[in-house]
Amino acid sequence: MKKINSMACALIALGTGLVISLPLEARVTRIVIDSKTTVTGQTLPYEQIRGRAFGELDPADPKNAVITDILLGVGSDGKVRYETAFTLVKPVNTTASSGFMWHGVPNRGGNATVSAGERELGDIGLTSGWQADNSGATAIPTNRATGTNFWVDAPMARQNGQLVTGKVLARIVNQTGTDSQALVVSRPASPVPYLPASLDTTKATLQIIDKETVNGVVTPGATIASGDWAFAKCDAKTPFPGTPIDINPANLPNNLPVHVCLKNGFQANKVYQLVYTGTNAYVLGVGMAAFRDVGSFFRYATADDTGTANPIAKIVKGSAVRGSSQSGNMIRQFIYMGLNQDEANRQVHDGAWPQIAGRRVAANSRFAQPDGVLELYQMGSEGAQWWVDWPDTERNLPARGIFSRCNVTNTCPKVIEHFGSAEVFALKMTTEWVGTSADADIPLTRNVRRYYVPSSTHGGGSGGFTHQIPAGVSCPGNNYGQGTLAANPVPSTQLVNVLGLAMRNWILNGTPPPPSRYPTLTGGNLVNPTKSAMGFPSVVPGIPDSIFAPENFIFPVFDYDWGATFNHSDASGAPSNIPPLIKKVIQMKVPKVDADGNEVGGVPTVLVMAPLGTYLGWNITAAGAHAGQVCNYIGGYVPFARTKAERSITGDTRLSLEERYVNHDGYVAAVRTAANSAFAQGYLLAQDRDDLIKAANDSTVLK
Amino acid sequence: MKIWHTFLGAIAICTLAACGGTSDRWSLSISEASKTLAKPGSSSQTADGFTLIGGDGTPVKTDGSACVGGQYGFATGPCQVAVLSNDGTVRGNVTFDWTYSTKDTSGPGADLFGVIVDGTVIPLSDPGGMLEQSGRKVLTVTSSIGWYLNCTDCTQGEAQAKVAGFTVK
Repeated sequence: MKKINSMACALIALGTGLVISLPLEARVTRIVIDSKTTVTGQTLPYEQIRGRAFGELDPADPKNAVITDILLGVGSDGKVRYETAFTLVKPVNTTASSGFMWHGVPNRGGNATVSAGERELGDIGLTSGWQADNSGATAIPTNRATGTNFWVDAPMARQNGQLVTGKVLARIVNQTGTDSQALVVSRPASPVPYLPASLDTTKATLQIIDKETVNGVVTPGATIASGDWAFAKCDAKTPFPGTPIDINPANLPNNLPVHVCLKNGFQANKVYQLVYTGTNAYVLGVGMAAFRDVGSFFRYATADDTGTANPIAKIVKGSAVRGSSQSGNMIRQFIYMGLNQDEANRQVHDGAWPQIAGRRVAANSRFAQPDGVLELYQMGSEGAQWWVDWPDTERNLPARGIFSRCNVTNTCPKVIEHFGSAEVFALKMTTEWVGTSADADIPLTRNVRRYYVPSSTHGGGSGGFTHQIPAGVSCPGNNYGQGTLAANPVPSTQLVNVLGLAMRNWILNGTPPPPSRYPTLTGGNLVNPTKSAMGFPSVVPGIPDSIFAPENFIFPVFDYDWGATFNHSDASGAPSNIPPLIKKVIQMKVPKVDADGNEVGGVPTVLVMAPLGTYLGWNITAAGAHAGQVCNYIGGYVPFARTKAERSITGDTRLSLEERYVNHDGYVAAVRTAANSAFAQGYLLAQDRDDLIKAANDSTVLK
Repeated sequence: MKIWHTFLGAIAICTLAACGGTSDRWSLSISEASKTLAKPGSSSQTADGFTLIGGDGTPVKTDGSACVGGQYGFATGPCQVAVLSNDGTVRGNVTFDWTYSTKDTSGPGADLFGVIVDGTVIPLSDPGGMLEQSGRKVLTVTSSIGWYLNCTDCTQGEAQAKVAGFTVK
């Protein structure tokens, strides 16, 4: 059959006088279905298909040329191959499907499929791997057919048959004692993926950092002598120098994490910064291309090269890619790389919904660490973070935008993006809004909607109407410790519910989503990050003025010098300056606040409109190396006093609950007014409006 | 001396009608590009101010601009309506109230309203804000003042802005 088709093509080519050259395509060549399970929780019968996709890339294809080191990942036949895991959640009877496919981006290897509500609508959920660092939750399972995480088997970069090497940075934060410590990127489940090329510590540098501020002022401490530490596991039973770690790349990922053992143990409240020569540099961009190809296969293909049918062939009428946090940043990088165009020049997805994500994930440079969260020296803010071509004046980079490549090929998706306050304070987001010069609101395009949930934590809080919430939260990131303030409960769930429907209606029916709502310079509600510029109330219990100091308050974008072999605009290539030099600190902006300290501007959000306290996009680190600084990307909450007498004791300048609402009924009335307003403006569904009013009524506020 | 102060007081505060309110002191314009739109927009003088209605049209290409050279959200788009003072009578501390609304499905990021003082553009409408906005502005004018309503890509619904309560001290 294949032969006949080829002959037919040749005859057509001859007949039309055209010369057809069959391209070497970047595509999925084979899929394997490993399991099928029933999915419950909705009316329609659903099933989940778990499988693996095998694909190949042509490094000569210009669409793949954007991938760093792709030429160093070719096999003997000149192609680059990958294998990745996928799941497909779909109606058993595909004709019952809505025809809308969500392509979920796994966050650090986790699942990202459709909700019960979306299954009720008949939507399809495809999830597939993209993060090819084979470490922690993205590790390739021993039995690939039974694994449950999402991974990509991509080649390691080789030159002349040898694995390339390069500098790798790792930091050990707030650890104590004589036990060895693991090298992790942002959490225990995310080990630094790169093995040292040698156990020889004279070829590495381990330095103590006595103090570092959020704005990049580093106070270095002692450098630990090479004889006083080892790449080894050690503990009380096996003290220094311990047991040397296995650095054989053939044993990955089972020989991760890398461990470091110190002769004199780790001192409390310090950062240990290690620079070593790493090996096993995965060609990470291959994972990004694999995600493209899998999405394209399930959307467009009828079968693979071996005849295995696409289980949803000819069913998909529209699709959107969706990811939260790290995964949202992947989407932004995916579009930036031009990967929303497939091998046949088709647009892969109609829509994209990067959630709580204001940067581009570091997944296309040599020895990149995709699990990074923008802590000091972590990559992710390089190059254009905004959509349209816009000058990067402060970093002296050319005018570029995330849409630069897809504009040329007319493959830009419709975009919905939503953010919260924690992304502003610790995840360096406002550069996306105002650029590096921070002096103008960068326009969006017709195809982008932006929504900001004011005064909210990363991903939104737990919701509800609870006045007193116990203090103390865990700061995210690499062992930052605890926060001093209570958890911020402001939810984003209700907005997410609106936006999920809005995206599919936009794509399937052309119905415009609600207008964008976010703070702007023009509107006067995006200001410098100082207490006075923000208009923060003078006395709020538990919030010292010191938190507003530049060294404590907001994580700025740094203009890093990664070295001459790194493309600072594309965030590609091979960084050589490790750690990078900070050439400049970029001006950041923050939302203005009202007399209660709650942010103004953004989407009408019921709990912020009928507040029980001050809801913060930041918290305060209680102890450790970063004590007194913003507690990475977690929000905080300071409740109002219940009565005027109570607040007079602390000098709290914010009105008490009784002063604002009088009694429980008054509070419920305030929630009702807020909910009706948000609903009328299109930012709250009717069911959620009613549920919120009921929850307020059922609450104990002022009872 | 007392008489001099009284004279100053009489001329120090005036309304639109009293100082520069006559039509020859104001230039009401529609840009040439805006005239090509199906609904080009308009600017008109009212008893105590001005009304500007932005242009709107249908793009030739899906997701394109109805305004040739216009681009969504960019204030430098060529399609706009404007009112500009054309003599030097409006000088000093100028106060006015403004209202803005847009029917654009994308919201106020698509239709931009602002004031031009001595040649400097000062945006008034908030591109990330609500569909209906308002405010009061106090400015020092040395040589000229005007207002513009730029429809950027000029599609999916027009905007309207009103200036009122105009006083000069």
